[in-house]
Amino acid sequence: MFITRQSFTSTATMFVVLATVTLLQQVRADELPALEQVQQFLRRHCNDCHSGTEPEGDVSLDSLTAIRAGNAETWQRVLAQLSTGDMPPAGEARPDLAAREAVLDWIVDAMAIAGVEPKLPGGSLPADGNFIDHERLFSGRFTGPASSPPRFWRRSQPQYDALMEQLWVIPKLRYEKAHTRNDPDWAAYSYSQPFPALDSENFTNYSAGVHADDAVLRALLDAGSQIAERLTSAAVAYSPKLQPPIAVGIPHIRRGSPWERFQVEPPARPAEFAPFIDHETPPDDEQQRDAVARVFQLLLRRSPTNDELSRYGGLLRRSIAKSGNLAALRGLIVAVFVSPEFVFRMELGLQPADQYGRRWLSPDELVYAIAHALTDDGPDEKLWSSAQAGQLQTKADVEREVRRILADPAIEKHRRLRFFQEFFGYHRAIDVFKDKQGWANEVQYLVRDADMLVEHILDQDHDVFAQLLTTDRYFVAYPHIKDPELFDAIIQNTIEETKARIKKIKNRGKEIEPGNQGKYSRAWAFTQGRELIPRTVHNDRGSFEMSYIHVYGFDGATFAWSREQPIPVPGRRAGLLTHPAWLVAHSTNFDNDIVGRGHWIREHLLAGRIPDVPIDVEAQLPDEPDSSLRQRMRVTTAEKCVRCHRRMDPLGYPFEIYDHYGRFRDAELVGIRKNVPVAIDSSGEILASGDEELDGPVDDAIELVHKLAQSPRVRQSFVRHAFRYWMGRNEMLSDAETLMAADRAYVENHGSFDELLVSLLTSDSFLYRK
Amino acid sequence: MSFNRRQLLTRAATTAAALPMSPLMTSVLASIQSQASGTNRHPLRFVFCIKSNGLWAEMIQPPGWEQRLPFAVVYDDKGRLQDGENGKIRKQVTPAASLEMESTLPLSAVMEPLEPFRERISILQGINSGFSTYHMGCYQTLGAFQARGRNSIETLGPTIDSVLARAFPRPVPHVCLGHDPNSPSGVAYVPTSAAGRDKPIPFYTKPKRAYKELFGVIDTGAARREYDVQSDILDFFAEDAKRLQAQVAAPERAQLDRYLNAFESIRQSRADVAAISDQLRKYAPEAPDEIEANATFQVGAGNTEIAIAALLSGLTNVVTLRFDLLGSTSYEGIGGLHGGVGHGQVKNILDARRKICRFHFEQMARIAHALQAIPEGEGTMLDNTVFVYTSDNGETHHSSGVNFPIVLLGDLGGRLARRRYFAPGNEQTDRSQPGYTRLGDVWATLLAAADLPYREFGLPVNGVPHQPIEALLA
Repeated sequence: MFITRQSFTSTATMFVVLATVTLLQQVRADELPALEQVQQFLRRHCNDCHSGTEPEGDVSLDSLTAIRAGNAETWQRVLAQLSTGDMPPAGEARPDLAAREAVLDWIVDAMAIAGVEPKLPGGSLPADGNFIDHERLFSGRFTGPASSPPRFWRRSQPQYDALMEQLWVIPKLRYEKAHTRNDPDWAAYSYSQPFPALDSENFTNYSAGVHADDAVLRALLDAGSQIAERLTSAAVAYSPKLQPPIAVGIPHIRRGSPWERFQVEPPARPAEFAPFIDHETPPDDEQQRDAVARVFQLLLRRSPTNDELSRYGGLLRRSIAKSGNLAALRGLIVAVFVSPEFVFRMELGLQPADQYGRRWLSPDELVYAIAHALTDDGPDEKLWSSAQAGQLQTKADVEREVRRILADPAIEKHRRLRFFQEFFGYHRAIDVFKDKQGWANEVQYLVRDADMLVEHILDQDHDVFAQLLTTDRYFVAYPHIKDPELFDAIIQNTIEETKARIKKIKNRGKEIEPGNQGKYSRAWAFTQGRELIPRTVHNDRGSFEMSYIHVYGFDGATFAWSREQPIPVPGRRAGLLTHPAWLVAHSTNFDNDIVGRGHWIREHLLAGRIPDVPIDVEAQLPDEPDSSLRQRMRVTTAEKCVRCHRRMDPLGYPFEIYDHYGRFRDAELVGIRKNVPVAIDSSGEILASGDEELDGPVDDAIELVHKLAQSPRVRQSFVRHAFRYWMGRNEMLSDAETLMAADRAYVENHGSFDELLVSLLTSDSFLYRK
Repeated sequence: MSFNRRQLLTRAATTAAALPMSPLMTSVLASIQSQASGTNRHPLRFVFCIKSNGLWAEMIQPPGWEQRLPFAVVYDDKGRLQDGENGKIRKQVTPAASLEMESTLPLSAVMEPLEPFRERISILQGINSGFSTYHMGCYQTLGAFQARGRNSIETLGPTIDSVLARAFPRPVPHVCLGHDPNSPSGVAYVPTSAAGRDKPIPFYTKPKRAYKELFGVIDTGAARREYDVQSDILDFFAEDAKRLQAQVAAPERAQLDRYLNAFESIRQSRADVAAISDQLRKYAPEAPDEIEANATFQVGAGNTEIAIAALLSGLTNVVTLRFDLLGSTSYEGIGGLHGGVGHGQVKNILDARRKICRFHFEQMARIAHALQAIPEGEGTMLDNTVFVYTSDNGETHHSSGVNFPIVLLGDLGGRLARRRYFAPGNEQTDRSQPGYTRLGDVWATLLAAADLPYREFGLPVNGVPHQPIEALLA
């Protein structure tokens, strides 16, 4: 019985549910605990509110009898509330977990006997992940066997971008990693991204969230035509706007950089395409076969099978006859581009089934699974040779490869940083529009600084979660360049440029002065003998942009940049939740987003859940220019609002020590002109967190995040999210062991995120399909 | 006749709701049947014109009727409303009214391009959407459902334009033309229309791209060659799909099927287009030149050309025009929609908004003139058409969604009232009580006028399904 009921918590797969119902129907009524025991449980924990003439929520349980069609709906509600742990409500005594499990077992089994299908709340989207009760998940009562459903992974946007870069369609010949859409370089390479953007508020590579349909096909046909045109064109494939680093005075070409590749292997039309271009006569059979093989190699990174050679060759031949050589070749490229294999990566589990019916991923499937778990680039040669040598068969094999990639500095682990971006959501700061008020408001640099902090803490790989939540040192105006030699070159170049600029100013007979109102000027910093903020991207628009450092509390006139970072910043900060990038991402255009921040903490750090806003609620704050935001928030204390809001707002209030630009402040400015200071009330409370030691009042954000960083529940909530990100789905109770093992790996290795990752990627949940 | 038109349409709409992706629904045959079997032999046409950034109520208010607005129309020198910041005051409700606008009543100065059609115009004010919009209503606006959270791009169901397109199918049931400077390919998910839950509809965001797809079949140059090669590819995979489907077992097949079916669906729609190539040749525009993606006025005008040709040739009965996008559109010589026009970084907000709206009305007028020039029955094509103009975001840049202004042009073959000024006067704030009119009710009115079922459309607010607004029906 134990195993079958767990399977019920599978969130998406209908076939599992059906199979389980069949099994449950074989349960005999006399095997079940007595109804009386269940009623006793309800009397003890529920009936105080849910009985009598005016039961809470109009749900009366005092006369609930054995399950039958007439009362099935009430039982469904009991099942839902107990399984999610939503009831009894916060503040009431919690039932013993074993007793709760016994009651849940009884309800599910009794429903099966009564022919009622149990409905467990939940869904397949990331926002539904916390429907699985945290206490149950980490109770140790559930032991698997774990597996994931078979999956079609649709190509992700970053994977598509990476391929385009390899094809020289968008050669990112920059010396700094691109981070945001605001990056001026980015716009120069704008090209078609055929895969639609997903809700950026959650993990983007989720099996339930990504799909390909008519719209994707139309977009792919179009993008494919563009790619085909470039691959068959003699013209250089990169943007004419692009400037090599030499043009901005940086002589070094980093080893392994795109620039080096550009010199060694410049963009060129594949030789196999030549017979199709500028030739009237049709290419011969061998030339046609070569072209098919080359297109497969370019787009799918493999050779075609004989069957594929014949089918795609046939298509090519027909098109040559009808539309000519060049159009046919381009058509062939588009055809491979829209082929299902280009769009989907299949993980069916091609090994024989084990005793639980689970199938281990085949070596070929594993090669892609491991590579795409960590990078956007796809498998490297070593992974392929391991698979071909029969050394990708066991968990130890998988572990060896994962550790190899993690340890190799030449392999960029795109997906590891992206997890932290998508989890914290700080990268969405660029989507929040703010009036500039005369200041550089270049939030992309805030996001870059936050990225740097994450990468730095990951490099240390010690106590990672706690460090992320509590560090009081940030990176400020720090380019994302790992190569020290290149970094030196950029710093030197910045000095040369600044000298030239100073000379120009002096030639005009002007003096070098500090920027007004504390704005940053490299020329001024140079004359003061300070180190300069290095130029960042090719299109850096000058010193003024760097004035964004005022958000950290730095005065541009006195700020001395240092290569030794992270550095302490003025005011009080503690980790990413008080980082300006996170604060801006979780703010509105004019105000802090108290509710949103509280909501985020509740769901991301406390593994809790807040119901959607009821449909009849106008969720608006009153317009009162003279009131503080906290005063305007009083509307959320109304009776119908407070039940949810008390679980969010007190977690958001502590961040009132910052303004909505992310600046530390002593007072809030109100009034139409925002010039009247009023006192800040940053007191808040952690309520009903599920960790008694965590509950209690806090004075401000600093105290709040320090408390959170100590809590095992917060750490486990983090682990749950990492699981979701790397499995691309929500956890089930059968994944409990995977989650607990990952948590253990993290704790036992002194807070090593890489160990957590190795644990997840060698788990049954990752390696088995069922 | 074995069935009447109403029955057929009802059946069509029900089937469409159940099988939103079925390529059968796009067949010309169904369309011809539905039109031939009814009492009204002429097709009904719908043109949805959607802007971003909110539509200020006074843009469409007839002169002399300003007192019907719930706020004093007084601006500072930057064109900002004097009383209240950032248009927040617009959250107030509009006083109730259901009036006939006399035929002598002129249109607002901004609507001057539509003056020749004054007799056909109705104005709706203070329509409550039932959801909170803030910056963008996205799919909620035409879908009449509430998504989770503000500015959400969730698609919880089909939008009204898509439902109408399925009920009045033509070779291309629904032509969606928009603008998105960030989409160099010319196809993008401009968040406006959806065929169903999680089925957003992509828009052509460049006239050249739309031309290639819609009129490529009759082109004699490069567009035709590309069209042919793509047809070969579609044929290839439509065949190949069967082989692939046989190799993969349920349940993981659903995701693959969805993609493989797309080949057949696009192929089918191309075959339907080819079947009316004579008509297409007659009305097709010149092949458009490449237009810079950020040339908003040019893209808008080019889209209008495509829309006119698509309607006149019978390629479609339903067009959705999305003029701009809040996050990325900038109008040449005026400014960016968000920071500029929305937040007042332009020299004069009011002036900027007037110019932008006027441009939209000019495009509507061009389409209306073109339709009016083609005889249909005893009247013209325009007689069987209705235009809907509004903003996806309701009343202003930061909207609460309680005060949508809407312009209706055309009476849909005498089914809709003309010259109505309608404002529901939302004193009633309890959504469960009668008298509470919501945006979905406006779309229900269109469905009712077209003899289509409306109760299932959108998400009922507080359990109350959407209902037609009697005052707007003829």
